[in-house]
Order: sequence, then structure tokens, then C-alpha cells
Amino acid sequence: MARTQSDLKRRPDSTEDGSSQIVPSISIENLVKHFRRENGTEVRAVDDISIDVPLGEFLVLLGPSGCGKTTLLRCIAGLEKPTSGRIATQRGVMFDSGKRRNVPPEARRIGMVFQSYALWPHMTVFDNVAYPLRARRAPKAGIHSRVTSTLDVLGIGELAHQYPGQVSGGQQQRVALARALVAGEDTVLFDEPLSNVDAQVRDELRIEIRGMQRELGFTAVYVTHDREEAMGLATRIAVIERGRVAQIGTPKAIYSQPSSLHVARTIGSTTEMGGTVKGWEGDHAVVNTKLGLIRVSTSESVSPGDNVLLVTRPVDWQLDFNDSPLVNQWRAVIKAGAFLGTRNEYIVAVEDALIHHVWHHGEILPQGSQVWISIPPAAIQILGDSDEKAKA
Amino acid sequence: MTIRGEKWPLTASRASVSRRPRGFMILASTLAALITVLILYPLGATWVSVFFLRGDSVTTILTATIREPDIGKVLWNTAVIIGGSVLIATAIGATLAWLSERSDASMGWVTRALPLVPFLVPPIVGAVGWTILTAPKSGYLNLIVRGIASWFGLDISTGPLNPYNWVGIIFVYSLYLVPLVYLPIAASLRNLDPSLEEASTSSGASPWWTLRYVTLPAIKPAIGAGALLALIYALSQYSIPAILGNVPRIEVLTVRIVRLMSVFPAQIGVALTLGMLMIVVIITGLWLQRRILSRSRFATIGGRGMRSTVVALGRWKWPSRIVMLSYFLITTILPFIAIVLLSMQPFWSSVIHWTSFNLNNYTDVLGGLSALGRGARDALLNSLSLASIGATGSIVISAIIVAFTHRHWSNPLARLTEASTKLPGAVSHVVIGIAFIGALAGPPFRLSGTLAILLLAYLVVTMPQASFIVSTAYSQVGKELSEASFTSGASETRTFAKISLPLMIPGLAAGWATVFVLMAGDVTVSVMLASPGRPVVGYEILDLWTFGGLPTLATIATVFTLLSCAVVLGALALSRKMALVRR
Ligand SMILES: Nc1ncnc2c1ncn2[C@@H]1O[C@H](COP(=O)(O)OP(=O)(O)OP(=O)(O)O)[C@@H](O)[C@H]1O
Ligand SMILES: [Mg+2]
Repeated sequence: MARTQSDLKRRPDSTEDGSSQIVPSISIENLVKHFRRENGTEVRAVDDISIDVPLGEFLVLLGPSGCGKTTLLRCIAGLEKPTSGRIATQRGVMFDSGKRRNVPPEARRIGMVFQSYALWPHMTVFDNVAYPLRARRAPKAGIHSRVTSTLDVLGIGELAHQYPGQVSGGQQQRVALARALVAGEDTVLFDEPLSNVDAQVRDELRIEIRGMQRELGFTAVYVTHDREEAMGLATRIAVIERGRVAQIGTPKAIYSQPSSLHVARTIGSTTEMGGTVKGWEGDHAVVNTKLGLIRVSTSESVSPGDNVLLVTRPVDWQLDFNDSPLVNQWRAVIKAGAFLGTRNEYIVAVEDALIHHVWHHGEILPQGSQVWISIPPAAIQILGDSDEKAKA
Repeated sequence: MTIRGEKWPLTASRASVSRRPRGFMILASTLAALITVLILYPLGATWVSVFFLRGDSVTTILTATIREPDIGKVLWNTAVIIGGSVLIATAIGATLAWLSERSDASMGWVTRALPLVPFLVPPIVGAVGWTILTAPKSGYLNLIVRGIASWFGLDISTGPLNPYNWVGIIFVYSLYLVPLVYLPIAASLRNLDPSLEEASTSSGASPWWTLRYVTLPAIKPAIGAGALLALIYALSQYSIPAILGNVPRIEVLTVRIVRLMSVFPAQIGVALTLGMLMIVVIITGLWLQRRILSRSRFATIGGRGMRSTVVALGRWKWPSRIVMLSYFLITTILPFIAIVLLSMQPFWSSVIHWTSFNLNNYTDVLGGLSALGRGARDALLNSLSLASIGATGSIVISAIIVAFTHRHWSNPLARLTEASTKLPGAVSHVVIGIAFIGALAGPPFRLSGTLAILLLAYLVVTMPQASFIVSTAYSQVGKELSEASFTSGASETRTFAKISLPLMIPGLAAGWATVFVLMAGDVTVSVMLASPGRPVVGYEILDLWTFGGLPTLATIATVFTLLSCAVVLGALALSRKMALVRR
């Protein structure tokens, strides 16, 4: 479906300060949400978050359990009242602590898919999906065809007259999806919608969600702690850490240039090494580590004597059987290996230093095999001082 | 936007951010405010007017209270009867709970039916029934015992059983306190992590050792809670002492307070002072319970769903079962049989005339033939209509208020309402009766002797139970189901009508039945507020007891008991059926 410029301009609402730029679909400013636990301690579930989500974006919130993802989502939906801050959509200001404005969820026109599906057990699949249209007093004639076509698109047309208790978990999730999409909301929020279904259904639904989002053009904010899901869906990922945005950017940018060790670890497996910068060799920084000297091509301005942390991805390590003229190459011994289906994964030792998660395709190598391992200078990320490491 | 050629946003994208009038919010907060006023106003107004506005100073009232004839004896009687019956009931209730939850003597339906006993045969019917069974001259059980004795040549003219003494009164009190103790203890045993007991057994401890040193300490809070419930209930109990205490002149506090309120002019100052004494006892109990609970934070509750190992009782199994069954025999079946027998007799005498069994009393009561029959019929009709209207109103109001307080928890009105609805549970019903007479009977409201004042008082005294059951039903629906409705764009009214209410129906049906039976069977408030012109069942039964008319009394009691059973069982069946459907 082609979303044209006029489509975007269809929404004339401008922000309160009168700017007539393309209005972000959601704009969150300095949002804070504190909870008080039963024992009186205060939890900063959302701790000063500001994000702008442009129209049509698929933003994924990624972070460990308890970092405040659900809370942020519920604040956007209006199900939780933030402690302070401001939330606006292209329909206007939804929440503003300064102006004591708090639009109730039913007036926000933001759809939501709950982790628990939250289907109404006393209504058929059809009635569940028709509900948002009826609630918005859509013309009766339109409801039937709209619901039917939505169910068909999601491949559950034949379940229309079943009750939610009578269909499978994956089908229930499709119903929940249909219900969130049927009214054509500008924004749809997803709270770990795929965490309760099995791996195969998860893969299928992930592709469908992305497809629907492209086709209908709604803005999606999607919570998960599964990095593959995040990578597969996102146009941008926001990595959340303890109620704050640790980094926000495209999946590629976050993967290859994580701003912190936490982000690096959140987005994928890492192999990390501490070291001291020795000097520069052309545009390569030379770092002294437990493996010896490592050359890193970086734009980071480090100077000799700095303590740094080198972060690499397992996939970038190369395993060879003979010496070839490569930089950053060491002689190594296989300590342990495992066959993981699509690849073999090894722990190798370079003298005393162990390197985990080295991948290789081909025959599985016995323990004790002599190999060469190497890492290209461009695949190494330099992070600041290793106090990051102490914290982690 | 289009999908398969359709324009996607189907509904008008109206400027929905503008605040719509929030119908539900207005309705709910009005109701919440009204209920709060209904609960707080009579208590507050009466209290202020008695102690501050009338001519009598506080010292005058206190002196009058201390000078009240025999007041020391009344307090002593109350303490002995309540202390004794709470202790006995706690022991019996805990034993029954353990037997049915933790031993192989358990019989499924016993567990389910035991808490229903006071609903199936209300205490006033039980007390009358036991009197008919054990009255020294014509008690049916005495007739049987004396009959058997005469075969052995023993000729006894009265007794041997007699309900009109300490033992009789404490016995009947205890019977009706047992379910209150049983319920929390059984629930606690069910939720207790079985691995606690298994760890003890596998360390070589005997079942008795495990019970004494592991199970009992872990369920101590539940035992405390049960005993406290029993205490609160016993303090407000009026029907049992009114029926059994008169003959042996064993007077308790509730009886004295009701008497103070029914003389002319009503001794409201003294009555209220005595009532506050009850409140002090209840609040001390609640405070003690809090302390126990806060100290036993670590009692392990968890592992629900795990079936714990049951203790094999061996040769004690059948004796235990017989004990459990005899509880039903004693509380429900025997008194009910006695009442049914008497209802088919022309009068109560020491000889049962098998030939004169007939249904004349029923035609009299149901047809309203004699003056006595008409009074009884009016009482039945008044009680049933008050209870149906009251229960429906109470449950609907509670449902709306609960939905409101859950969503707008930060609203001060929500918190005040929540606290107020619990208040009548901590204030003896006698005190609520006093408050209603003090605040609403006279000018400006002049509700004295009307059905309206009864209905309002019933609403207030049953509010804690109604809001507790409804609140439980509401939380079982799950927060996300109503949130999903809000994010679908539904207003609070629609969410309540289409989502919360239908899903709560099973819980609401149970709540309706509970409130219905409590209202229809109420004695304490009814005795204080009803009038001969507008009788209700509790009032009429006591009236017939005092001024004669036992067969008529037995007839109303039978009809009433059958109706209560039908309502309770019907509601249970309905709620079970609704809960099964579509799940
Ligand atoms: N109603 C509440 N009362 C008190 N604390 C809360 C409440 N809701 C959330 N929290 C706390 O706020 C923090 C963030 O919770 P949140 O549910 O947003 O985490 P999450 O990132 O969604 O985690 P998960 O991935 O496990 O779902 C947690 O520490 C949680 O304990
Ligand atoms: Mg969450």
C-alpha cells in the first residue's frame, strides 16, 4: 500500500507550540513513573525517558526483565498514570503533568496487544474483534465486512464463531492481533505478544506482524526481551536499562556500534577483553591484551595508556587450519566444542586466555586440535574504561 | 489506508481527545458518595447528638451506664458465653477443617457444605428448633429419652435435657460459630505448602508431632482470624440469647441494649455507651490480629495446586466421619425436623398427636386466615421483598463501586468509600441499629417503623459481605480484560456493562444469595427497627416466641428455611453453571 505525502498531511493537528513539521506519531518527553512498593521503597520503573516515534515506525523496546518496558508501554496507552513528563500523539497532548492533562485510554486511539492476550472469554472470536468497532459506534453495515476481512487476513476466518477458550494459543494471539488492528488505530502497542506461543508459531506471527504493519502503515511500539525478535521487526530499537534509554538506533547501528557493554550484551552475544592502548599504527589503534597486541580500526579517539574494553561478536571470529597473513591472528587449541545444528561452537585457548563462542562450519573438531583464530580489526568495538566491566 | 480494497479507518476520526462526559464516573461516584453517607451519617450523627448536643453531659451518661441495674452481671454473662463458645467453636472448627482437608476421613461435599450451614438453617430457627427438641417438659428429644427410659421401668417426669441454662446457651452459640472458624482455617490448610509437612514427616516425625510443631504454628494466623470472626459475630448475636436466656435469666449485652432502646423514652445514651464497649472489644481484636499477622510474615503460603499427602486415620476414620456428619445432624437436620413436626401440630404439648398431623397452619399462614396467620404472612412477604430488592441493590451498587474504586484508586472518594464499606463489619449490628434509630427514625427523616429504614439498615449491615464478595469476583476477572476494553476505545460504562459485569456473574450470583439470606434472616436490626404494622421474619419469630403462637412460628420458620435453601442452592448451581460455560 502506498502511503503518500497527502496521507501524512491528512492529519492537520499541529503540536501546541505551533510547529508545522511532520508530527511524530508519538512524542514522549521526560517521562517518569515511580511505583511505591508495599514496603514503602520507591521503584523508578521509568526514569526520565524521551523518545520521538515517527509515523509508520516500528520501534522495539528491548531490555532485561524488570527494566520498565511494560510500564512505559502502559503509560503510552494511558493505563498507568505517569509521575511526570509529557506524552503527545498526532491527535494532541495525551498526558502532561504540568498542565494536569491525562486523556483516558479509551480516547487515545491507541491499540494494544497484551502479553496474556486478554481475550474476553464470554464473547465469540467475532464479537471480540468487532468490539472496538462497536465501541466506536462504527456503522453496523461496515462492521461485519470489516471484521470478516480482518479475520481472513490473519487466517482465522473459520474461527469466527468459536469462543476464545476453544482455539489454540497461536490462534488466540491472532485474534488479539485482529482486535488491536481492526479499528485502524494510528498506533498499536505490543507487550511481548509472542512470548506465550511456541517457536514455530512465533516465527510465523513475527513475519505477519511486520507485514501487517507495513501494509496498514500504523506506528508500532513493541516490547520484547528476545533480541532476534527485536532485530527481525524493528526499524529502530531502543535498548532500555533500569528505566532509561541506554541507546536508540537502527538494529544495524546498535549491533555494530553499541554505546555500552550493557547494550552490546543486550543485542547479542559478546566476547570481551580488557586491555591498555599502546599507540597508533596508521589508522589502527594497538591494544595490549591477554592475547598480545590487537589492532583495532576505530574512530574512537583513544590515547596511549587508556584502559579500554574490546568487544567482539562470536560470528566475527574466524577459525582456520593454517597460518595465513592476517592481522590479529593467533595459534589456538580447541578446549571444548558443541554441535549446534547450523554451526559448531568452540571454546578455544590462546596460551592461558580462553575465548568462548567461536563459530565454525564443517566437521566438528576434536578437543586438542591445533587451529588458528583471527578477528578483523574492523569487527572490534572499543568501549571506554573497563569500569563498565566492573559494573556488569 | 486500505486493506483488500477497503478504506481502513472505518470510524470517524473525531477529535476524540476532547473530554467526553463520563457517565459511569458520575454514576459511580454518586453511588459511592451515597453509600458512604448512608454508612457514616447515622453513626456520626447519633454519636454527636447523644454526647454533645443533648442536655445530658458525658458524665451523666457514664454514671447512668454504671448505675444500670445488674450491668456487671450482664457483662460477666456476655464474657462467659462469648469466651466459652468462641473457644469451643475454634476447637471444633479447627478439628473439622483438619479432618476434611488433611485426613482420609474427608468427604468432598462436607467441605463444601459446612460453611453453608448458617444459611441453610439460620441461628434463630436453630435456637427455636433446639428448644423444641430439648425443652424440659415437651422437648421431643426428652420425650424420646423418657420413652426409652420407661421401657426400663424408669419414670422421669421432666428432662433430662434442658436448653435453658449456661450449657444450653453456649452449646447453641458454638454450633453457629463453627462455620466462621472453619472457613479461614480450611482455606489456610489448603494453601499451606505441603513440602513443610512432608519435610517434617520425612525427618521421622509422627503425624501428631508434625501437626503440633509444623502445621499448627503455620496456620496460627488463620486460627486467629477465624476466632476473631466468631467473636465479632457472637458479640452481635441477639436471637440465641433472646430465645434461650429469658427463662434462666441469663441476660447478655445485646439483649440489654435492645431492651434499653425499646423502653419509652429510649435510653439511647446508655445503649450507645454499652455499644461502644463492644466496638472497643472488636477493635482490640482486630488490632491483636494485625500484630499477629505482621509478626508471622514468614508463614509460608504457596505451592497452590499441589495436592498434599493426607493422613490415614486407620480405625479412627469412620468415627471421625461420624463426628463430621453429626455436626450436620445437630445444626441443621434435627432442629429442622423438630420445627417441621411442630408446624403440623395444632399446639406444642408433651404428647405428639400423630393423628392430628395436618397442614392447617400452612393454610392459615399462606392464606392469611387468622390474625396470627396474617401477621406471619405479612412478615414473610415483607422479608422476601426487602431481601430481594436489598440484595439486588446491594450487589449492583457494590459492583459499580468496586469497578470505580479499582480504576480510580488515587481518587480520595474511592478510598473513603472502600474504608466505609468495611466499617459495618467492625461495628456491632446493635450499634448500627441504635444509630439508625437515633439519626433516621425521628425528624427530619421520620422513617420510624417504615420498611425504608429496614432496607437502608440491611444495606448497611450487609455492605462488608457484599463488597467483599463482589471485589473478589472483580479481581478474578483479571485487570487486563477491562484494560483491553479501554484500549479498544470503550468507555467505562460500556466496559462495565459488556466486560466486567458479564464476567462477574458467577461471583455476583453467589454474592446475591449471601446478601439475600443475611437480609431475610436478620434478627438484630429487625428487632430494633421493625414495627408490628410492618413485621419482618426475624421480628415476627421473636414476637411469636414471646407472646405465644409456636405452631405459627414453626410454620414461618419452615417456609423461610426452605426458601433460603432454595435460594442458596439455586444461586450456587447457577453460578457453577455460568462459570463452566465458555471457559
Ligand atoms: N504496580 C506496581 N507496583 C510496584 N512496582 C511495580 C508495579 N509495576 C511494575 N513495578 C516495578 O517496576 C519495575 C518495572 O516493571 P515492568 O513491568 O515495567 O518491567 P518489564 O521491563 O516489563 O519486565 P518484564 O520483561 O519482566 O515484563 C519492576 O521493578 C517492577 O517490580
Ligand atoms: Mg513486561
